Amino acid sequence: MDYTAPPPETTRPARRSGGREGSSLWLMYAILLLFALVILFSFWIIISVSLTSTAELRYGFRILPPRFSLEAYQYTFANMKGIWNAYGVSAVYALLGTLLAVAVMSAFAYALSRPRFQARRGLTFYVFFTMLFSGGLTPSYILIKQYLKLYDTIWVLILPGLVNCWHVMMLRTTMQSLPSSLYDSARIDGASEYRVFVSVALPLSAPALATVAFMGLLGRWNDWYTPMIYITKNSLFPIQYLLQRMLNNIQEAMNMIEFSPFASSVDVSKLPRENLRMAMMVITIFPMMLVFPLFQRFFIRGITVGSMKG
Amino acid sequence: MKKTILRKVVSTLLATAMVMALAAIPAFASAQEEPTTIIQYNFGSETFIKNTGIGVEAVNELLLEYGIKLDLRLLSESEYVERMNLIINSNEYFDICFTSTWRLDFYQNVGKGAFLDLTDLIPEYAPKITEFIKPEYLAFGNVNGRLYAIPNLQILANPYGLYLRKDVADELGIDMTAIKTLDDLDPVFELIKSERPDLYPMGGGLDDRVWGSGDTVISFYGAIAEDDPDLNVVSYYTRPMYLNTNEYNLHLYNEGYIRPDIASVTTDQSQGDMVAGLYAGAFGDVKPGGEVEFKNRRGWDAYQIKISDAMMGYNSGAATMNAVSINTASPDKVMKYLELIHTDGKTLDALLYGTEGRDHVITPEGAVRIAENSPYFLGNTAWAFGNTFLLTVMEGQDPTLAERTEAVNDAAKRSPIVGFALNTEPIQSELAQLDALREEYKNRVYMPNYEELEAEYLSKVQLAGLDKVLAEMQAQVDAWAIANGKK
Repeated sequence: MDYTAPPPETTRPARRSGGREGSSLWLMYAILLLFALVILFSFWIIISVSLTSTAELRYGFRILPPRFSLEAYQYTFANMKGIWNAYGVSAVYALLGTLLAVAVMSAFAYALSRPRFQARRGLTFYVFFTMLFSGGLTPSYILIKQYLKLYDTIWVLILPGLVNCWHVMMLRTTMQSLPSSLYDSARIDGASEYRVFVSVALPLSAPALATVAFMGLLGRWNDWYTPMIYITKNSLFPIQYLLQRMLNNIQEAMNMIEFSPFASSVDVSKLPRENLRMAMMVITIFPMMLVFPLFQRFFIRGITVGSMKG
Repeated sequence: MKKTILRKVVSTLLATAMVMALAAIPAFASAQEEPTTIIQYNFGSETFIKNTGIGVEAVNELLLEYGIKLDLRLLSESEYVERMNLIINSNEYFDICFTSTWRLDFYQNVGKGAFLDLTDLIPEYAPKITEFIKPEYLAFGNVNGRLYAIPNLQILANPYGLYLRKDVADELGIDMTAIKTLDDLDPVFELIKSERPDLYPMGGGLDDRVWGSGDTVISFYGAIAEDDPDLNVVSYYTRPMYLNTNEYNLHLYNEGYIRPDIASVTTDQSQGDMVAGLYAGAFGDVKPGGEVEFKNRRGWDAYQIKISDAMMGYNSGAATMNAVSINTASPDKVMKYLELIHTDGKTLDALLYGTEGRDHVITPEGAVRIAENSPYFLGNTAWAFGNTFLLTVMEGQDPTLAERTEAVNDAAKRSPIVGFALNTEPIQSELAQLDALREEYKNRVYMPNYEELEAEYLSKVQLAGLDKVLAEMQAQVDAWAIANGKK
């Protein structure tokens, strides 16, 4: 007998058999296609505007730049000596932070998923409680700055955000839903608890781990709030925060002149405008666009993983 | 054996010498008296301050004489409030910070007990401040008759008017001296419209806050009518200054003197479009040196025309002040420093322009020229630091700017309740609702169904608790008037 999987065709509903089902499918595709187009169009406009010169912008946004110009990119790179350094900080923040976070969270989730674990209920409540209630900004600030002494170090980006309770819950549910016979058989083969975790629980939760890792990576890459509160050294600015500051600075340059009782010597007319914003957007999202396809195959399976049982 | 003894002796001697040497250093230093470090928070933009660490040397050299060392910490402007609130709430140590009515709320922080009462410290440690800042202006830093911050002198009352591009005005032969009131503008706009169809005469509508009137507007919603001796607080929406402004902007819009898509144009975009040459002019505050500023900011030589007189609002002097932290360890040194930046031009120059020769040079006319690629320059935020009238002017500025600005301040009509401060706490939720409505309906004048929207807005404002707000304002104004002998 042949035990390979049955040919998938047999499991699919016969195509175009029912007219109603077919047309609703096409409608669905049309809606999705439209949705995709809306998103693609926005992306296209962002890229197009980022390649338009400031002078041309007065005529509004165009599908194609009237004249191709790298002005905004030149301005960005010329005015930000720290941009490569910031990319580096972002990479460390996002990669190291995510790696550590996934390691800590998966171990935590594994412990919570084992029914024999004594403190399981207490710890689950502890996690759940912090999902609902938070201490607020000021106490966190006091703790981090005055007691943990993490202020203005790279660790403030990595350590306090290591455990995302929502992600822990997601991983726990996944690990709980693995057949217990797998754990039992590993145990019978003489595997220690660590061995079971590393060789059974982790590989089988790969889709969930990838999902959590990707969300963590994206969240860390895009985070500008944590560095705003806790980082003052220019050498520790991640890219998002650096760009955020630069945009504000241009706005500030304008405000400053507005409020100044004396005339200013700064020529605001030379400062790039929307094109700069768009160029910065392209600069920051670019690395994430490269990373996304790597995760995608896990991601599609993983997103629903928390809700599945059995 | 001998060698080891010798070695021991030598090493003991050396060790003793070292200990003595080390001990001698602090003794020597304490004789010099270590300067007291003052931590000052303010905001600044990286566009101007490329490296703050090295800049304060210049002012520190001058401060050494008074045993003061300044540690100036500049926060990005957009983050100032958030970071400063964290610093204050977590009881972190600092000495001085910027505070105002619009950024890092002064009254709220005084209420919190964050700032030191300076009333009795001034005569003791900074007596010269009262010589340079008139009691009337110093009182802007008062809460319930006690002084909690030192206001930075600058322009306190802006006359309102408009700017018109020189090239357009000259080409069309417009007589600028003939323009005295808003009514004189219509023929000018009509001329621009017919002769220069490529331009919109104005970049935007009139600002309703500063439209020619002697009313005192309290926090957008209340108003005390001009020359009302009883200080009755009435709804701002019933005042001619509001009604006329709306009517006038509608007129501008209907006549095509402003662009038809004005409702969707952001301030940012409007500024850029002015630079790009889409408009012949713009309404705005007029002031000494205003043309130079317009040229720098909007890129065009322009005439400025005054339409309404200057009016000093009840809290306009509280727009930029410096307060002292309640935690300060050395109020004497802090007050001395504040006295210097409010009374001594040399100290202020050093603080804002950095080291002469490296950060700036003095031109033969005595003005400051910023060195190219200077690592240090705070001149554009002079108004956030100290008495701007003492500052050496920058190249291209009118050397008499300070006197002219001071003259405008002194001549300005005063609100009858100058020095009053509104405590918004009891009406916080009403004000939040009103603010949201104001934002939602802000472009109603430029909508096709304006009249309908206006009626809708006014009825919603009533529902949001306008009357309660007005009653609270009235109660506070009355209490203030009695306390200050105005009633």
